[in-house]
Amino acid sequence: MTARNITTIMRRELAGYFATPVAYVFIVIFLIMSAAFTFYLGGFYEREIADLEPFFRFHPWLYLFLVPAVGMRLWAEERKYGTIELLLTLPLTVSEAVVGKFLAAWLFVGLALALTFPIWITVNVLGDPDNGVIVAAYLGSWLMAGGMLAISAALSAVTRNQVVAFILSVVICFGFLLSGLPMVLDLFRGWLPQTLLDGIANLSFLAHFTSISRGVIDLRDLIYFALVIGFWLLANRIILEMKKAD
Amino acid sequence: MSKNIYSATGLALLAVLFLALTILIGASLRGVRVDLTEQGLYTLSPGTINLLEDLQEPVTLEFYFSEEASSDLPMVRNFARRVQELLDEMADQAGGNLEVERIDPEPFTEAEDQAARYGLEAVPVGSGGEELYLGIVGTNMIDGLEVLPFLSPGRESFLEYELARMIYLLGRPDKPRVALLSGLDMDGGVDMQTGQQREPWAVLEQIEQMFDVETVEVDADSLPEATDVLVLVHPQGLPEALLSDIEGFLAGGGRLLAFVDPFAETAMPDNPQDPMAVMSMDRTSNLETLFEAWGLEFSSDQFVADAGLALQVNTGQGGSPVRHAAILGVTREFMNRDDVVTGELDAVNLASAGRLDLSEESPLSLEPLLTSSEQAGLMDVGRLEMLSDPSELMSEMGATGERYTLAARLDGEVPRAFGDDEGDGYSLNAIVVSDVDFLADRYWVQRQRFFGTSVLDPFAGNGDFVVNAIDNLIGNADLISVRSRATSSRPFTLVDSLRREAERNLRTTEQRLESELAETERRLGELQQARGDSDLAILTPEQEAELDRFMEQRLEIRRQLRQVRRELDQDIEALGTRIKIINIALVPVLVTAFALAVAWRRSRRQKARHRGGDSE
Repeated sequence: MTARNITTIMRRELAGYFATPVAYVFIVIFLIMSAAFTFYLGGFYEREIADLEPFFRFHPWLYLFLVPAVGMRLWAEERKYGTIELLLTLPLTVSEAVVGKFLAAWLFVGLALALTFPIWITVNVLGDPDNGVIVAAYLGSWLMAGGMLAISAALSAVTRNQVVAFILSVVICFGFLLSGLPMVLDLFRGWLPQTLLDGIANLSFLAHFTSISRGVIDLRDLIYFALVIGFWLLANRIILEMKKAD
Repeated sequence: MSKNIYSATGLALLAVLFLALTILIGASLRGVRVDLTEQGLYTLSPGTINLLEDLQEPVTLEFYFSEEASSDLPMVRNFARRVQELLDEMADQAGGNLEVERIDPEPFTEAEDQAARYGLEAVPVGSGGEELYLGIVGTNMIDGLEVLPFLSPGRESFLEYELARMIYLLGRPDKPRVALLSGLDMDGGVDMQTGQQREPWAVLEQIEQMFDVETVEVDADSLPEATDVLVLVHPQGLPEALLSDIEGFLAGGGRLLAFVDPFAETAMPDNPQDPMAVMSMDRTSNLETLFEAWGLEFSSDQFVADAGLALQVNTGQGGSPVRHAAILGVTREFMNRDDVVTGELDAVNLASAGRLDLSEESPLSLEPLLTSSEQAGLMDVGRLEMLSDPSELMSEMGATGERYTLAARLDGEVPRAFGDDEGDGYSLNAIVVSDVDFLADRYWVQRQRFFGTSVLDPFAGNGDFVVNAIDNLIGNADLISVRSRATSSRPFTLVDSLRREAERNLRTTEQRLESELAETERRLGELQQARGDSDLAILTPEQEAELDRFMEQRLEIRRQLRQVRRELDQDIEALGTRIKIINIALVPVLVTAFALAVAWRRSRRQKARHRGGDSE
């Protein structure tokens, strides 16, 4: 894998996003929904506390639908139009393509997240928030988006139908979100030892995101997100190779 | 070989590897973290580190945590992991003097019996009703015992303080001795109606946890032996022998924390049922003999009214809450940030506090700890006796632009008030607060029942102030630095200032309209008087016209007043609407505009290319 190849494919992908209205529509929907949730469901203004808790509280649930929508087209589209063969004949490895495409999508989601900056300015105008906590929460949010995106990218390679890819991704991301909750753990109770149960509970996006958004960047949380992204990108690659053999 | 990796088996292997790694990092890596919070909430504070390094006696902490019962509760397990890490970190710092043990009190084991014996709380969890223990028992070599019965995950930011406090208490052989001399029933007293003992004041509970508190009767002759700090609350008519003994105690290096008040609302006569006794009682603290000798001026017949810090109170008449110029919420800006006592507090509440100042010849230096805002003035305490509508205070008070001192640290060489030799002075070290209601529960704390025990839920830092002050007077600054950062409220300061501005406007308009109304009523009264007592039933046409005009004007003024009240919160609502619009719509509109511009440019370029192609 060379950085140059990855950068090239990332640039090509990123430019591709903005060639169609889809990217703009995604950003606009994300911005409107995150702000509307913050103000109307989270009661940001009425609670009169200078922090962004009501803003970040809804991110996991927004991402659950919006991130698979970004990720679903990554490979499914290429396969549908047959451009995947073309892509794989270019002088680059499958891994480079996987990482490049992922990074482009992740940067794109990061851009959408960055465009929520007015809420950060707002809370600083209204009061005196702990900006360290806000920085951490933004980082946590972006890492969580990255985790979901890696899942969506891998599942997008499974099928040429984007809708199927979308649904699969939502289901798996949902599982990862909720894996710390008793309703998920109950499925495994009784036939798995406590260590493995702890491991499953430890898979939860929510737990790690909450942990970071308190304002503490713990190495374990960072490694967790790195593992999720790394694992699903590897899976993505394996799936592509398997499909190539078909 | 490499082909085999790209298969379902490869995927399965990868999944197993992934799961194994996540379990491994969850269990093995510890304590590597960057704390981005402003106050370093999740990092051991220098105060804790000092405390641990100074630890002389070996201390053991047993951490009771139920593994089985918590298996369903990942949040609780995460929290327990955090507790364990903090304990380990503390043990590392203490250099061998702190031992940490982890105990799993499984059902029907000796460990469970032990946990119950120590008074740890078993919280029923899950559908099976398993009992969850999550508490800490601390012991030292001389049978000292401190227990945290249940660590609530919601109080994570207090965790370090609670542990540090436990270690501090276990680490010293005897608690500091505090003598409490109070003119108020701080231990709750007996409820006259039910004949039952009432709960003691929360502040008393707090200081009793930290110190060895001995209560001194107001008619005693002397203070107990070996007192470290004297806490003097609402002194009234103390016998001279006692005052002289207090001076002797101060002269011998004793420290003083005094609470005096021009109008102690919380004070109750012996028979609270008797309305005459309630009304006629003297509510002013008196420590004049000592204050005079020190050159400390205390406004015993005037209180500080402050429009800038006035808190909202419910009038209880079903009306909307109004600001009470005598009940003050002192915020960070009006506290001494450089003093350890107030340095990290966010807010304290006072009621009808007096003003403290030094006379010109005073040998003391006075360091203000709490002050009023610039929108404050002094009012006679008599005004508070029959006050039915607190909003009247707001309109009557006149701001002088001066910041009044409400609590202060005093030190310097002072002459003796008692004793024969005038030249015989001593070095005073005291903190004086000009309000005693400051200590009453209703101004700073609520009690909540949490899993069967009473938990204090402070909404202001009054309790911390008192404990900080005593701690500081004893000379333990380390613990103060840990505690004070535990609470932090971050209000919308902009909204607060808007609200105050709006209320100021309301008050001015109200005053103008009310004086107009009074003027009209006065004219009408004159008219009636001019008419004399004859022909009461018949009005002259002018009188009738005047009366009609009056009625109309009164209606109009009332309408305007209602309107002004309605407008009170409009600025705040308008700000809210503006902020919502900016946050929800601004960037999306800009992004859409940008997208349209890009699309338009692209189509123009395409058209140009087409035209270029056509012309070739």
